[in-house]
Amino acid sequence: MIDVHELRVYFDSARGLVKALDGVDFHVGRGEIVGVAGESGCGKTTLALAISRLISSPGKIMGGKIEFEGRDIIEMDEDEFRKSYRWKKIAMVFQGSMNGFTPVFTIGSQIDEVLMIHGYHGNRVDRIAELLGMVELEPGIARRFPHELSGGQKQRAFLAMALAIDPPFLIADEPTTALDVLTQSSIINLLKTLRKKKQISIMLVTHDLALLSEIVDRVYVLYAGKLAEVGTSDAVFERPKHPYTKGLIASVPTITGKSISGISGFMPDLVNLPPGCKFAPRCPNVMTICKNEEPRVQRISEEQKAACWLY
Amino acid sequence: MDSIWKSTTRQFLRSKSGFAGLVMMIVILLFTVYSAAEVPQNIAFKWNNPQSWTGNPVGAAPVWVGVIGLHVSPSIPVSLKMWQESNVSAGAARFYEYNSNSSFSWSSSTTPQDVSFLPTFRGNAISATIAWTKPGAKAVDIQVSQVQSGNQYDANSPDFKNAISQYILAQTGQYSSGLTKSQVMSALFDQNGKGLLSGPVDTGDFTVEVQLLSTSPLNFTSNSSFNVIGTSYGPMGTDYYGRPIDLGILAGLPNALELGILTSVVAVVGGVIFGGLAGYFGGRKDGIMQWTTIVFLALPALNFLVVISYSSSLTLLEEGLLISFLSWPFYAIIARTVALSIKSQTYIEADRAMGIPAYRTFFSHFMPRLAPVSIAYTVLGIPAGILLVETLGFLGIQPPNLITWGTILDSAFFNEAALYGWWWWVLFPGLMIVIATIPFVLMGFALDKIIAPRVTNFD
Amino acid sequence: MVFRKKPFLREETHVKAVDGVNLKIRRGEVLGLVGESGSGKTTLGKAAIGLIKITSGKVKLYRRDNTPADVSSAKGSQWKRMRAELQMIFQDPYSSIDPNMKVYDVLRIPLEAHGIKKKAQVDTRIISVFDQVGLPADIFNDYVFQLSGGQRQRVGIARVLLFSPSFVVADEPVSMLDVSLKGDILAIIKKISENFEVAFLFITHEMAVARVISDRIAVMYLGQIVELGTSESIVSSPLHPYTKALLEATPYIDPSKRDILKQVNIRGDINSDRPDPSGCKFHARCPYVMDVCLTQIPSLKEKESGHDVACWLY
Repeated sequence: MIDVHELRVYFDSARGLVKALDGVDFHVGRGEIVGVAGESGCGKTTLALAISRLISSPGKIMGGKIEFEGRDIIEMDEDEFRKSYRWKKIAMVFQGSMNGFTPVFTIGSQIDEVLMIHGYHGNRVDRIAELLGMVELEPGIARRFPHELSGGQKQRAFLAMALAIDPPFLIADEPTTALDVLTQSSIINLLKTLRKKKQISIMLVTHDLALLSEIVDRVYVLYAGKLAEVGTSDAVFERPKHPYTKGLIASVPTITGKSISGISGFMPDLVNLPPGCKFAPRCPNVMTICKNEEPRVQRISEEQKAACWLY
Repeated sequence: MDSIWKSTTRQFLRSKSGFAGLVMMIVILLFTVYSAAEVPQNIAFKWNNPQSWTGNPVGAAPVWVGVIGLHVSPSIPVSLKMWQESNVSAGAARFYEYNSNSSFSWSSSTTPQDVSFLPTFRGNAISATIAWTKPGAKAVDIQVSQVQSGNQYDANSPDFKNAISQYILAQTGQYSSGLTKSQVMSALFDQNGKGLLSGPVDTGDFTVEVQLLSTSPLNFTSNSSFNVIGTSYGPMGTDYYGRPIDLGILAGLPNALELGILTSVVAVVGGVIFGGLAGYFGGRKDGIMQWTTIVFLALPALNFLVVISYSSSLTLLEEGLLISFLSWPFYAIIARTVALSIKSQTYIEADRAMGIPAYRTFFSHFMPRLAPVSIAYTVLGIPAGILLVETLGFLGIQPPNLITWGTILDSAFFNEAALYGWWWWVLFPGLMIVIATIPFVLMGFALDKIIAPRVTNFD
Repeated sequence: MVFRKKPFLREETHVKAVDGVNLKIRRGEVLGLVGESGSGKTTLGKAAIGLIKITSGKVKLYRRDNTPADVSSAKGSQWKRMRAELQMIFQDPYSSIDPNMKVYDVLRIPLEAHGIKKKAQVDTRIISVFDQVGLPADIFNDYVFQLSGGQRQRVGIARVLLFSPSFVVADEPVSMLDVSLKGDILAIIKKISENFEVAFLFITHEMAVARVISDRIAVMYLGQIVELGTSESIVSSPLHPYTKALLEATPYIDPSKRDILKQVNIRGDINSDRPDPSGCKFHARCPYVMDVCLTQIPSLKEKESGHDVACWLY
């Protein structure tokens, strides 16, 4: 459904050129939930923004292709993208989206506006009730104002708004990070239900590996703007191959309560990237070649690929 | 990585307006130093005393106006040589004659404003005779009876007028009584000696021979002066009293700068500390301080200043402090806002948790953040200070011993410079007020652009 | 031994941020305090070291020689002296340390405030705490804004250790750090607790993190402790419905859960609870609510050895 080839997004900052994404391939099929994992600065949010065409100066897409249902959406005219793709085919929910409601209008009227703008032909009142039901909010919410709702309710309402025109593809960037864990689990349940009922494809971006593992079919692990590992959820979480993935997984608390380790060192400065593999300075399995040459993404098995010289 | 100060300085020097402003300010400061060195200390007293300027042309244009097509005549001192004594006897009486002569060359086609003869001697003299010779013509004798040392005799003096009337009579056969100064001057300088104001001006070498006659010896301790007073003087001309405008400009420069800078610094520093503390304290103390700030903000500064200046005479320092006293509220409000947003930061709470005393917290966290804002505002406040000072001068409520550009303008207005068309009297002081503020505005904008994002982004 | 007994309220906003909490923390123990935002956990933490005024109740600190000191009523110089024994690690390393200061000064100023002024003494102390948190001495002259989040948090911990406190409240110290950095910070805290017998009140909203670091866990809901026990027993046999829900909702790395919808069973949000003076604070959302829950507040009672719960089910 969506195919990203060799995407490069660079930002022009006062300190130099920041290579937020440097040649990343990405793919989401129909009805798939794909996770994008990584820590701050790895480029996962940049990827989400690039697909939504929300990258603005000083950032620029410097290379690569993003194909949605076969059409290149980078080259597309802004008008066409806005009329045919944004919200109709590609919808987004971000971390702060719950604050994306105007405080002076009711929830219902704001969803109504979205329906109108995108030319929804059916009965809008019914549709609003239907959407609210989909996100497990009572229909009376439509008459309330945003400040009357809790964070969780607002995020759900926004999700309802995102689904207004039945988009086949939803980008969710840290949709639950600001919410408490109980609300988080109900929203994740919601996404699972949506996928089952509507065959919607979801791109879920978050730093929370545990969260991802419980919902996604496939997962991409990004590091310093590049792909470290990608594979099916089972493969990556149970048999991680890239040392970074291994380190990340070991940093997540387990149910046994064993001590969590960390990964020593720090994320490299995206303006001054070291040569060779970007993870080399922190890698416990580092070899000489790692410091000089960048590893390419290698196919390790049917279900898994990693960019590492170990393979 | 550079400290904040170094990186700010670098950004500042790199910015066009900052650099330009800095260069201009340095130039102005050099002029101020020059002014402090060259302008005499008691200039204010001299300035207000019209006697000091009698040798200067009145309402003279700047000497360079020939460039823009205005016709003026230069002022030329005719340096009288040493007095030669010779004795003359007429009968039983013994007379002493003292002669001095000199010459000058005249090339302007505009008649000069005046001639002035100021003899200085000790003793009693009977008369002075000035033999005025135009180029290629006979001398005109002007006799001054009962000549006194220290008196100025010029074209307005009755002696001159008499002599010239006779001269014109001889030339034209017409006698006019009640000659004006201009008529006397044109008679002295025109080619046909008719004293008509329209006559073409004689150019060439003029000679002046002065003879003093007395019955007892005279002593000459200082120089007597003989001046041809043209219609131009100095780089900026003169005013109604013959005071050179350039001198006034120079004299006013340090005053403007001192007051401008002083008022700005005091107002900003005082205001920022007050407002910073108000924001830091919070609660009731903050409430009282805010109330105080608003009261002062509401005071009409200019009216207040006028009343106080009028009822008592102030020194430069007092006036500066008074102005600061009325401008600080603006800065207090800004500083309070900055302080409030600092207060909400966690590191302030952390300090408290560590048992660090309040004053220490204020100095290590608040002051370094209030400082950059203060500097920018100080620089930006200097133009306001300068303008306020000049406004006071213009309104005539400056302490009398102070020369500022505002007082010069006030004098111009009062003496109807516009009526006379003496544009230089108004242009230069006005221009200087603007020019003095420009470098600070430029630098202030540059600083503001650099510092402002830091204040709101916080680190 | 740190002992606290305090039922208290916070009057200003007429919200009972902490309503009747009795808690004992043992010397050298790490007590995890788990709760969502709005549960009052941060308020409890700050009150425990005397940063907030208590409406009623007492906080007592028992020093190493077992003499008691009243934290809640300390004032002036006595309060200031207690700062050396009671410390706090803050959540956000970017705002809890002034980014515009030099690292050295961040640690020097508190030392000077407590009377350690001589350079040699100051240096020794700073180097020693740097050692404990694993920071290299060559960052002394760097400005804090040059450091990463993980480094800053270590400076925050170093700052806390300057006076060898006996009790530290750690308010979500790893919540704002990247995943790979959490482990190191937790290890540092654990090491300090063990080596120097420092008691920690570790506040977090993540049950999983609390499990890793705490000896005992207290679960807090709307100002009250609803369950208290060893980390092992809380996680493996939770008693209170809220604790059960939290554990159920907490994600662990488990791809097999992909097709399962979690049964969390809790209605509404924490906001939907208006301060209700009567009854158990959780009753509006509780799946097992009974009549008694509406009228009487259950108190924290021991159900099994070392495991207390406040619920009418027991």
